This record gives sequence, C-alpha cells and structure tokens, in this order.
Amino acid sequence: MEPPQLGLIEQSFNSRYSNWAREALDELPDNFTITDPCISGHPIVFASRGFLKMSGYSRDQVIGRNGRMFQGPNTCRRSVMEIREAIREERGVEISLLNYRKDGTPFWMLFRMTPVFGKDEGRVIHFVAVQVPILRRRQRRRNGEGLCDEILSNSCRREVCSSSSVELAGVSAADSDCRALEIEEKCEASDTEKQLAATAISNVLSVLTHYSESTGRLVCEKRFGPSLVSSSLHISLGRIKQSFVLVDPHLPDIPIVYASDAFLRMAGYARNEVLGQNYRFLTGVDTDHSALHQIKQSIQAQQACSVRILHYRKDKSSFWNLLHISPVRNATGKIAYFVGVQIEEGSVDRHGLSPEMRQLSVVGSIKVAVRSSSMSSSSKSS
Amino acid sequence: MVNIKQLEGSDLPSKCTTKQSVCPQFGSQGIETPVYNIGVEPLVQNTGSDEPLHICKEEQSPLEYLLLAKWEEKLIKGQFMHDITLTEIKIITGRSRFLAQLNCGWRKKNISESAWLNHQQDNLLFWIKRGDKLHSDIIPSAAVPDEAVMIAFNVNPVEYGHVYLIPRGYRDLCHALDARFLDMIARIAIDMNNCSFRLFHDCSGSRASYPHFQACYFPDLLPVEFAPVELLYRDGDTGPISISTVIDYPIKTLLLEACCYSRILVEVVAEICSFLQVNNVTYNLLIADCGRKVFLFLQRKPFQNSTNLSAWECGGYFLFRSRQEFDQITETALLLRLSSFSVDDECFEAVRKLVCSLACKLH
Repeated sequence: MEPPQLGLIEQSFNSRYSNWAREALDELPDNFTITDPCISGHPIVFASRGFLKMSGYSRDQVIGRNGRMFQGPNTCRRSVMEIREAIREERGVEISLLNYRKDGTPFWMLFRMTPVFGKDEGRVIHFVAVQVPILRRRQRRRNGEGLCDEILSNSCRREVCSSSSVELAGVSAADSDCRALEIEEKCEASDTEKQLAATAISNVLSVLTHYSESTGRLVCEKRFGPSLVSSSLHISLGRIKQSFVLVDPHLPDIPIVYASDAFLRMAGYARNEVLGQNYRFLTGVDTDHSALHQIKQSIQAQQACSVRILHYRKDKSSFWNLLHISPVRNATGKIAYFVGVQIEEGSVDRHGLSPEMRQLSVVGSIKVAVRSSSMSSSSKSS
Repeated sequence: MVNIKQLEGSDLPSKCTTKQSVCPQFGSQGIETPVYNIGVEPLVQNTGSDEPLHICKEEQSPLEYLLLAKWEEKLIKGQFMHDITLTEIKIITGRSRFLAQLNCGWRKKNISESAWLNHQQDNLLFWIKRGDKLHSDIIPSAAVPDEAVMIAFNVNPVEYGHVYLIPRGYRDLCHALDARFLDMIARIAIDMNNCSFRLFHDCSGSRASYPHFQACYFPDLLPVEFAPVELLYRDGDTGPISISTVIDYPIKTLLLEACCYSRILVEVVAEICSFLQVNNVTYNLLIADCGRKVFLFLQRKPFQNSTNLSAWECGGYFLFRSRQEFDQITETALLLRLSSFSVDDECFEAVRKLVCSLACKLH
C-alpha cells in the first residue's frame, strides 16, 4: 500500500472548498465519498458520516485510500471496469455494485458517480460517488424469464414480447461470466433508490459549488471550455506513439484538446492537468520570447513552423524542445486543429530518422487521422 | 466485345518475354535515399475470422512511419500540384455511400508512359527491398538496391500519401504483373499495417504499359468494401483463400480473400492478371484490408474518346473538378457511370470460371 499523501489530500479539498465545507457536508444524511483523480492512486479525499457508518470504517482508515478497498471476491469485475472507464472518460456512471463492509459482510448498493469540473480549468477536479444500499428488492432472475413474463403481462402484442425476450437472452448470455463471480442474486435498484442517489448527488454538488465560491476556485457540474476530440479520432491518435498535442484554434485562448501519452511522460503532467491549457504553460523564466512569438505568428498565418524552444516540466526542470507546429484540416478542407510535435533535443529515434523527419511523420499520421475521422462523423449526420 | 477462350494449363501466359530494354534504367547513381528492408520473419498474421478486419493493430509500423515522413516533407516543400488536405470530401446520399471529392487542381495523367516513367525518378521518396534480417528495418541512406520497388510521390495526388510503386530490376517484368512483384506489393500492404491505406493497379489491356501499382490513404471504407458478396470458391471449410462475387454492385467485381498472407493468393492474382492482359481485358486491382482482400474490377473496352475508369473510381471514389458538378452529383448518375463500364454477363462468367479453375490448379 502506497503511503497516503495526507498533506496533498487535505489541500485537494480545502484549497477548493475551504475547511468549512466539511461541516456542511457532514450535515448531509447521504453516504458518499469525494475522490481526486489528479493525485496518484485516485484517493478518497472526503468520506461522509453516513458512508463511514455503512462501511464500518473510521475516517482515518478511508481517507487517502482508493475506492477499490470496499470491493471483494464477488464484486462484479465488469461493473468495476465500467466505473474505471467512466473515470477515464471523465463522465458520470450509475451501476449496482456489491461492496464489502469492514467486517467482511457483502452488501448490494446503487453506486452513482459524477465528475466535478473546475470552471476555469475545464478539467475534472473531483469525482463525487454516492452509495445507496439496496435493501428491499432482491430479484431472482434466470435467463430473463421473470422479466419476459412481466413484459408479456404488460403488453398487448405478442411480437413485442418475442423480440424483447431475444434481446434479454442476449443480455443474460453476455452477463453470464460476470454473474458467476457474484453471489447468486443480481440486485437491481428500484426507482426510489435511483431517485435517492440523484438527490444525494445534487445535494453534495450544491454544497461544493457554494463553498468553491468562497475560495474563488469555482467548480461546476458541466465542463466549460474545450470538448474533447471525437472517440473515433481518439482511437486513431492512440496509435501514434510520439509526443504531440492538438490545440483547437476555434476556442478562446487556443486550448490543448488532445495530449499523447508520450507528451505527458515528457512533460511530467497528468492528462487532466494539460487538457484545456494553452500551450504556453510549458514555458518558464528562461524561455525566449521570440520563439513564442514565432509560434503565435505561424498559427495566425495558418502555416507550419519549426522552433527550438526552452520548455519546463512539471517538476520545474527545463529541456530544449524541437517543436514543429502544423495546421491540420478536416474532411471539408478547413483547419480543425494545430498539431504541436515535440522532440526533446538529443533524443535518438529507433528507426534512425532525423528529428525533422520524425516530426513530419507524426504530422502526416495526424492529418490522415483527422481527415478520416471527420469523414465518418459527417456520414453519421447525413 | 471481349473474347475469353477456355483456359488450358499450358497456354497460361505466365512469362512475358519482352526484352528488358523496355524496362526503365534509373540513372540514380550518387543519390542516396532511404531503403526499407522487408524482414524475412515468417508472417504470422493470425487474425482469423473472429476479429473485425477493419481494426488495425495498435502501433504504427516503421514503413508507414517512413512513408508519411517523406510524403509530408514533399507537401511542406510545395512539390505537389495541389495540397490534397485542402480538398472537400462528402458521402453521396444513398445506399451505396459513394464518396466524392472536390478537387479543382486535379488533372488526369495525359503524358506518355515512358515520359511519365522517366519523370518518376525526380519524385523518388525511398526504396523497398527484401532484406536478409529477421525484422524489417529502415536504412536512412543507402545506395540504390538492385532489385527493389521504387516509391515515388504522385505530384497530382488523389488522396493523402498517393505514391507510385514501381518495380526495378525485375527481369521479365515488362507488360504483366508477375508473382514476385505482386508478392512484394502484398508484403508492403502487410507491413504498412494501416487499413486506410489501399494499393491499386490499373491495366488497360489495349495499351502496353509498364506495370506498377499506386497507393494512398482513403478517408473511409470504399463502397465496394461494403457491398455484399457471394462465395464462389473456397478450398475446404477453412482454406487459406476464398473467391467471391461482389453482388449488388454496378461494375462486375470479384473479391479474392485470404485470412492471412497467402502465396497462393498472390499466384492466383498474378495468373489472372496476365491472362486478362493477353486477352485484352481491361481490369483494375484494389488491395484493401492490409493485403487480405483483393478486388478485381472488370471493364469493357472504352468507347472512342473515353478513358477507362481508375481503380478508385471502380471502388466508388470520385473526383470532381467543379463545385457545380460536386454539388449536383447523385447516386443514380454514378451507378449509371460505373455500370456503363462493366463487362457483360457472358464475359464475367468466363472470368469467374477461369479464376476458379486457376485457384483449384494452384492449390
């Protein structure tokens, strides 16, 4: 177990909402946790009284730990993957989940999680996760029989049932490997429980929003600022292993809308610290302003340019960056993005190509990816 | 109309014995360009039928890395007649999903074959040859290899990455595609490892032309790749190759498929091509899906003053030089255009029989 970075965790909460927010949150009856995806290990930074009572842990045993500490041998792995996916994509999720108390007893609950965005940064600051225990309804379901009967009784037309039962059969087959890991009954939350979860989320968010006003670092439920690139483009860009970012020249202050893994490794930042930022956040005291000016000019003139520029990593160490910037057009021939390809001076290419050629290769890949992905999206709308 | 004789094994025009002097002598002494060496490792392209074929493997290949770098360099230096990324593409409304590109700068090639070939030396990007190492690699600067495929950019590109693939030093290879060159083309398709990248070949039977391929990235699946097929031939239930007829498509088309790299597929294609050429049938090849699919389009002889369709047109990708044409084009018009170039049923039937007998014989 990683040593909990308690200072960082306290700061994560207090600097955003102030210490007073803790008291206000503690007055809420709901079971919930707040987590910070920007700290390594995505730890819990706040746990409500209700949550601690339900789980049987003390606050100290929970803060700084990851939410997976409540999972056990029969927790559905597919559900956990779904939550992980939602975190990665920075969106909300609602799912029934089997968790374990401190004494080892399992219990079903409705898990509902939602991202909290920083209004100025346009990135995820925290996740709020509400847990509503599912108490009353334990529905036994085999091969979807029960549900099909229900549909049959509610439906006047025979074909409705037959087509639905086909779908249900498909669903239960897909679920079977997951169900084998669970305790036998699959628990579905009732509408009342879903409503409880939704209300709890909105209560927590209203407290957080209110207290963020007092620190001047506002949070909100919806992302302001850049929307991410389309998922099909995301997949094509993932194949390109070099360091690059895409910026959107149509948005105010030309924010970064995509950053490759190699870029994040090179600069030492997490993805959500980079998205929404202007590219100049990499510059520092000794960065030559003429290089910055050159970049600005090339974007204004919609032309490619190459500069050698001093950049700074998150840990404040500096490096000489061979930067190439080029416009990238979509399927209608209009500029969709600018790409910035970075090569750390002195780094060696495993295929023996020069830095210039390596940069151009990345630019080519991105041009192909953007032209293709904007094509498929236009086809969907037509 | 085309006349296809029933095939006898010994009559196969597998060798084209024209003298090598017709082949280009590239005077590229002293110019050092990159060479891509194809590795000798056995191809285990185990994608079976359970994996969707349009999904590419994750990482970018060294060959694609090199090609994109060289091509983008030429684009940045302004060596093309037009910047292809400025052109607009759309999907034409309708069931066929034909693709249309508005490209005011594009010109159909109208210079003679030999003049064109000489011209390509100036457009050299790099060479591809068979290496002797296990893995494929790039030699950033090397002397011109003896037997290789020259990769030259098309100054008048149809799509991003448009290149010519021209064989050099292959003996007996002057008027027909031979299996060794096709084998290299198949290896290149595999090594590119990007399903957007298609390779194609046009052969107008009447005119003697130096055999070469072209290739580029297409921004979407071509309509022919969507079209349903009817199985014509397969050796066994899980044989390495299958041959199908593309149905519900305006131009008569065969699809030759292999679930992984197949020497037999290459040989069948080579035999068919040389047979078609000898019999004066105009055809086009389109290699898709990283070399796993080969589409064979069969065209009738063109009317006077009209030229044959290019492979990309057969596949369902059309270029328009005026905004008005681009805006007004309809699916019906394109269906009509394609079908007017197709061979008739009788000729198609003869080719189908020939292809199946070749596949049986070579297997």
